[in-house]
Amino acid sequence: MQKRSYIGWAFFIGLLLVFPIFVKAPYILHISIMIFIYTTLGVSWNIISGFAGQLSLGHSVFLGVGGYTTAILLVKFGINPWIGMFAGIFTSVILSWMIGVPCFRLQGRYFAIATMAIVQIVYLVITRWEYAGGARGIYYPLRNWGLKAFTFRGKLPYYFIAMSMMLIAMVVIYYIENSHIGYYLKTIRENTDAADALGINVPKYKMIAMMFSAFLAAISGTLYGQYLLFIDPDTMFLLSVPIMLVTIIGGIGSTLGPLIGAGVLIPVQEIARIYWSGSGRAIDQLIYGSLIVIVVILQPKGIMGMIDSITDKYKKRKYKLIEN
Amino acid sequence: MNLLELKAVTKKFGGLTAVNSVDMSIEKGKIVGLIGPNGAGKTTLFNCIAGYYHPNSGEIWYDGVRIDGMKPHEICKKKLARTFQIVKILNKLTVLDNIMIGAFLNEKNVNLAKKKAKKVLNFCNLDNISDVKGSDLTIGDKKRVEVARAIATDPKLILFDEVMAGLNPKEGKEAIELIYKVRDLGITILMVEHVMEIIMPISDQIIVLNLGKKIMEGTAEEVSKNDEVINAYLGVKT
Amino acid sequence: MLIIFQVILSGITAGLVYGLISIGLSLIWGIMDMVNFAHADFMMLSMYFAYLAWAKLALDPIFSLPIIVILMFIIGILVYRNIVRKTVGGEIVTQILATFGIVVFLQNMAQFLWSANYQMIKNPIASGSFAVGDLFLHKAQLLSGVASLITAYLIWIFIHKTKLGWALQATAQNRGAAPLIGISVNKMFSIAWGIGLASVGVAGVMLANYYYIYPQVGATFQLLSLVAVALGGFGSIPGALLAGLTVGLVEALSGYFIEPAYKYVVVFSLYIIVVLFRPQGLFGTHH
Repeated sequence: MQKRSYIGWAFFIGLLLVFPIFVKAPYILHISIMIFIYTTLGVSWNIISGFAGQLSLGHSVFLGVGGYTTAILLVKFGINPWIGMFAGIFTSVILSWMIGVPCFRLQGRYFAIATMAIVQIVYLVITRWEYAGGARGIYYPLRNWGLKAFTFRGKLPYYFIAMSMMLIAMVVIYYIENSHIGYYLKTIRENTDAADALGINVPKYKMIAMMFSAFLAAISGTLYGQYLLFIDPDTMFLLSVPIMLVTIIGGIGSTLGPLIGAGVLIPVQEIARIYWSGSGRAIDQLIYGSLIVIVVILQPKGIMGMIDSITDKYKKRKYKLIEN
Repeated sequence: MNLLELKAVTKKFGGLTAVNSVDMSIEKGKIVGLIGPNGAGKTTLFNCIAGYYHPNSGEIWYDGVRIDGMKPHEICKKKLARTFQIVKILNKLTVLDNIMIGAFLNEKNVNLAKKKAKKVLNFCNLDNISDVKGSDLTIGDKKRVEVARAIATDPKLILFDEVMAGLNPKEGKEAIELIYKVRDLGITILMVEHVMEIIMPISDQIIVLNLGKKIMEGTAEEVSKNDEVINAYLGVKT
Repeated sequence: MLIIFQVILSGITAGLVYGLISIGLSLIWGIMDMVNFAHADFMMLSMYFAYLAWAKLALDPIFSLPIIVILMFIIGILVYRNIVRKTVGGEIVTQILATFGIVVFLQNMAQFLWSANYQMIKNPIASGSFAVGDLFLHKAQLLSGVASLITAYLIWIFIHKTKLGWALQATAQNRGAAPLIGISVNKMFSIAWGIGLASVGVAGVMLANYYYIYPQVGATFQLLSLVAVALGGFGSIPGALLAGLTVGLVEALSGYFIEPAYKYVVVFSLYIIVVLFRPQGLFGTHH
């Protein structure tokens, strides 16, 4: 990373750390926590759909599997949620492996369809699985509090944990982007024949992207559950659209896209929830749908794309000068 | 020593036999030209060698290892590179990035790969456009980038698939110079070409395909005088 | 013993509907090389149109059918021209996201306009059943099966026996060369979308006779039809129909032998298995 970026990040992290000192309103902390969680989820989706170009249309399934694993282990077996989080990572990655191994050999469309099918199947199964709470969901026991129990009364600890997860996500995406993995994924996204001709094992790298993706979604799932102290199939498995939208608005395939997108969308979403509660459900999803279509047609690269196209025009002029 | 050896390689598509029992031996360090009229099976043969198609029968041996049936990326790892007839460079990345991806095959560290890519960039005279995005390049530059990318994978043999097509005379001359430079690095070259005045002078050996069969093999002079070859082309124009 | 014939029968009629939906999907996929993820949601739209025509205008679905089909055809062209066209030739990611966005939009617009409540058309002309021996044939289901067959046949004739149909085929096979022989690729794509949505309109109106109407009704039909297209291959109308039948039968039979909720698991697993071993589908030709 360039020195400029280090300073920028240090400044940003510093800002995030001192933010709660000045702003104590629980509602604003809640929005911040949601921004962090959605950024992490957006980065998770971005790795496989944006960088590797393999569109995952049911991404919430990894969130849900991670969250449910932790919840079930906690409620049924009394297992500490931190350990449960690792178990959640494990199950989520296994699931990603189960989808990827058969489907990565095929065209991207088949993979997209498979992801839609998988999330439907898992949703159906969980809704009917009484042991896992069925359609009613699982309420977390309110016995133990504190860091060891991953359960807190106030919002501040959640804020810091969510922030840390987001930073982990950014570290992951920076690592991928600046290593050969990132370059390989971009190649795979654009032209798999070229990838083959350059010695890239395409299914292997798609799988690597997938596993990173599943990992980030799983830890978000665990946190989400611990934060809400409740999970049900609807909260866990129907979040695919906002996860995608956050990245699409910010800039699919870009490193900072999910952060920017979450920063823009989540406050709007949460505020809209106040004004449109009641028939709120349909309206915000309605807007999401319209936004996806509009952004995708008008500015497919999102906000980051708009920034990039300005710098590109400058570079293009430079080339034309050389040519002439 | 034969670097690449084909034994009775046959490739069929349904009822059509695109490559018919072709034998071929390529010596290390040579420039070999593969010519033939349209539809002769040249690109299909390339695709068989590079692993994009699996031959129905026959064997392909490379550097002492049997490679028919292997996947394209495995063959590339065995140090056999190729370029494409329709250029497949990455439009969204810069020239340097494109070449780096080739370098990553043998050097996973980003900084070292970048150094290597810069060397290849320099070798191919691409320094002045190293930061230009693929989509902004001319066709001639795109082809050179694809060649550079192939070189960056440290191959022992490169398959050039109509690397001259679409180039103007100046670009063509630069391409020929580049090919000689590649040969001087010790890389063996097998190239498919349609432009006779280019391929004839630079090839050590020419193989002629027609309708999937190898009909002649020899020096450029021998081949251009051969009746069967002339008939296949219905008059070779120069 | 008899129950299984009843199950098979309903599997067949359902399968024919899946087949019809798949034909439209396969048409768009084959001609434009694009997956319309919103296909069955347009069917949901036509179901609501039928319902509204019945509820507000006292028009039976059989009579509103021709109007709705024409309406859907027009909507298809409008959607193509204003949205889809902008993603043609671009990245696949953009194309998929565009129609996926339409899915989200349509489902939630329906919920917004007409609420999430399940609606039903009561006592349409095509209601009731009659007995053939010991089997009960439901008129509405039978009608939708027949309508699917007829529509499929009409589309087949159009594609294979008319000049416009040949132009569509040409565009499907070689989009680049089509303009060279005077075919406007844009016009072909518009027509593909028009026919695609019109055919799914037929399916929707016929379904409205006996099926629950609600915003998310398209979702399962969409996935099942995608499975059918994957099984039946693209560019093959008989293939899509046969594959739809297969899906319908598998769904009905596995719902009968295993628990109904898990029948989708069977169908989707079937998808994964088929797509692994035969990427061109069970009945498909080329790809």
